[in-house]
Amino acid sequence: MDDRMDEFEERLRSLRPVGPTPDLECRVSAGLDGEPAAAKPRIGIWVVAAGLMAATLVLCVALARLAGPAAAPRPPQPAKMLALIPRRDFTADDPPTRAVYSAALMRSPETLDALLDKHARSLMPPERYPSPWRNADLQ
Amino acid sequence: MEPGGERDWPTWLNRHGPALVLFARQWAPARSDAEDIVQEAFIKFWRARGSAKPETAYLFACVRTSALDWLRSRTRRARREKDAAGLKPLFAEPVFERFPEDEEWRAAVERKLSELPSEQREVLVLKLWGSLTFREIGVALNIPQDTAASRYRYALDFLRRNLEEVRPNG
Repeated sequence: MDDRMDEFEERLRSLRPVGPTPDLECRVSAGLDGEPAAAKPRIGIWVVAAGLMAATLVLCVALARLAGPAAAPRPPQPAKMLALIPRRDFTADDPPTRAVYSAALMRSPETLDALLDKHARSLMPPERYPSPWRNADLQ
Repeated sequence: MEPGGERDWPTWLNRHGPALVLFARQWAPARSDAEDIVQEAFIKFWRARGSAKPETAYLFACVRTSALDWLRSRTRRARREKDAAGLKPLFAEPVFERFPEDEEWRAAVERKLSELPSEQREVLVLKLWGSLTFREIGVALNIPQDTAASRYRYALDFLRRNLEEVRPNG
């Protein structure tokens, strides 16, 4: 079991085996990085083809949605009715609110005018108003 | 000295790559198939190299195992397709670099190499181009060291006899 080589063996050994392509190092690198190594380029082609098909499908669905009939208009929402519940009654001393004025109008337009005048008088100096305007008009 | 280090696999691949591909081509003559085998085997080897000694022998053993797996799957497929693959010459493509000074010598060596019994050829490849010792060859092929040495001698005698008339130039 002599590991030394004679001339004939050295001649044989001088022949250099065809080395691997540079692609092998890339594939080994990918394999050692934990990625699935592409055993054959055609596997990569299949992966790319599958990706393209998936992207095309997504694009088709998006275009179909854009080109389809416009969405039916939503039925108008019933306007929120603000319940305006007029006061059933009021007195001349009630504060100037919309409900009070509504109640006065329901009684009569003249009553509303009298009430408005009364409230105006309460905000302004008394000498600017004629004397006939009294609270009695509101009764 | 063996290359080592966690990130030193390119050194391993560059150093042993040609011999690994040549070794795999005994079972997978096409270079692309041999590279697929080496790729799979090398990754397997690198992930488990710490648990096997000697490492170089283990690397070649991984290639052999992967090559035999590949051959088994291919044989099944070939049977189904009624492919007469076995009748094709072993090395349809050159397995050695072009040898401008003596192309006749290179071609003759390749031709005679393919005529060797496979168990002799694999020992010869491991010894001459894999630079393994007989002890390492025994480990790689799971055979006694003496058996490896005798197979090598038989292979070498065969080549001497058959390449006698094709002496290399220079």
